[in-house]
Amino acid sequence: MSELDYTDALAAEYVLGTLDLEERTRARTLLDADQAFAANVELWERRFGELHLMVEPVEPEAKIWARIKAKMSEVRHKTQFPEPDVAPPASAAPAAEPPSLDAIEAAISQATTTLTSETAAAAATEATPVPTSEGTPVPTSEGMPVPTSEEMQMSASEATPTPASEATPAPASEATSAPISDTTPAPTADATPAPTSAVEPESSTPVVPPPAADAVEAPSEARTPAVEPATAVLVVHRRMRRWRVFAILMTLVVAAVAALLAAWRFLPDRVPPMLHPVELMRQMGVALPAAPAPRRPAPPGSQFDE
Amino acid sequence: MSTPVEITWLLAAVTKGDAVAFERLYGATCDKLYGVVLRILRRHDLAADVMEEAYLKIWRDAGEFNPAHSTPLAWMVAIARRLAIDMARGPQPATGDSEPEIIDEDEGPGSVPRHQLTDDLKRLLTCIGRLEPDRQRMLLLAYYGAFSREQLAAKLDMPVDLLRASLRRSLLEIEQCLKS
Repeated sequence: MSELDYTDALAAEYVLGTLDLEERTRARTLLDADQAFAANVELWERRFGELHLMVEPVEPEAKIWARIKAKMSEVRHKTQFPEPDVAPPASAAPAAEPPSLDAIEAAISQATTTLTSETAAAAATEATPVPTSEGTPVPTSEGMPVPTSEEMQMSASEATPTPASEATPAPASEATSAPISDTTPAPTADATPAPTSAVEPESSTPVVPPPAADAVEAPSEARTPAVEPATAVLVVHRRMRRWRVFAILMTLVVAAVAALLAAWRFLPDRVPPMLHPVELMRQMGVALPAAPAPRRPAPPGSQFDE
Repeated sequence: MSTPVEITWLLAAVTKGDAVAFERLYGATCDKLYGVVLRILRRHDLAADVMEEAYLKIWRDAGEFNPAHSTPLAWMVAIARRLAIDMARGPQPATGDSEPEIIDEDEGPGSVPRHQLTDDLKRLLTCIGRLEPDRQRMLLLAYYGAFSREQLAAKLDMPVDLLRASLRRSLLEIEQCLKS
C-alpha cells in the first residue's frame, strides 16, 4: 500500500490535531502561503467535519457572550455592504423556523384568496394579522417577512459564499419589474388580476416591489399550501430564478430604451430613420400637431453657426 | 439543537452584519462549540478565550462559509478546533486571578442519537469501523482530544514512530475508503 505524501499527511494531521508545535507552525505557514495545501486541509476538515456530532454539548458560562459582544464592534465586518431595503428584514428572518415557513406559505395563499374576494386595499391590511396570529415571530410591517424568508432561503439553498452578489441584484430587479408589470402582460401575472391591483395602493413606499412580486407569485403557492420545508426551498428557489430571468429581461429593455434616448440626444444623425422619434410616434398612431418640421439640433459641442 | 437550515439562515444574516442574528447563532451553537473546545483544552479559562476568538472570527468571516463544502456547524467547529489546538500546542498561559479548572479526562467520543446521523457521518464511521479496533481508538482519541503524537504514544503505551506510521496508514485507508 502506498503512503500519504508529506504534505498530505501534514494536512491530515493538522486537521486531526496530532502535530506538535513545530510541525503545526510549519503547517500554518503553508496554510497561508500554499493554496493547494489550504485546499487539502479543507478537504480533510470536510472529511472529519461531521465527527463533531458525537461531541457532548457543554453550556458555556454566560460571561463569554458578554465578552464577545463587547468586542464585536471592534472587529471589522469583512462582508458588510450597504443594503437599505433588505437589511432590516434580515434580522427578522432568522426567527422564522422551518415549521413557521409553512405558516408563511399558508399566510401567502390565504392572503391571495382574500385578495381575490375583497378589494385590494383591504387585502393589503388583511394579510398582516395572519402570520402574527399563528405565533410566528414575524414583524407586523406588511409583506416584509415574505421577501426576507425568500432571501434567506435563497442564500441557504444556493452555494454562494458571498450573499452580496446574490442579494444586490434582487431589489433592483424587482424595482424594475414592478412598474412594468402594470403595463406589460407579464407571463407570471396572467392568472392573477387582483394581486396586480394590490400593488398600486402601496406603490409610493420604497419597500413595495418585493411584496408586489410575492403577491403576483402567491397563486402558484396556493396549489401547494403545505409544502415540506425542503421542497419549499426548492419552490422558492425556482421562483426566484424565474424572477431573476424576468428581471434581467426587463433590465435589457430599460438599457435598450436608455440607449435609444442617448442616441437621440447625442448622435441623432446615426439613428436609423425607422427609430427617429417622429417616425416612432407616427407608427404608434400618435397624431402630431402640424408643427414646423423639427429642426435637427446642433450637436452639443458644435461651435458653428448653421 | 437548531437545524442546519436554521443555522444557515442565521449565518447568512450574519454576513450582512446582523448582530441580532449573530446572538441567535451564538445561542444555537455555543454549547456544541464549547463542548468541542473544552474537550481539547480541558480548562474552562482557556476554552473561554478560544470561544471568544472563534466567534469573533465567525462574525468577521461569515461570508467565507461555503455551503457547498460543509455544513455551517461543521465550518464553525473547524474554526474553533483550529484555534483550540493552536492554544493547546502553544505555551499554556499561567492562570490569572482564578484557579484553572482541570476537567476530568473523558476520552471516548459521546454517542450520537441515531436520527442525528448524517450520511457523511455514517460514511466516515463506516470507514473508521474498517480499521482495527486499536487504530479506531487511536484516531478518535486524536480527533476529540487533539493530542499530539507524543501524548498519544504515552497514553496508548507505544513507541512514537510506530504510532506515527499507524496513524498515517489509518488516514490513508480512510481517504481511500471515502473516495471509493
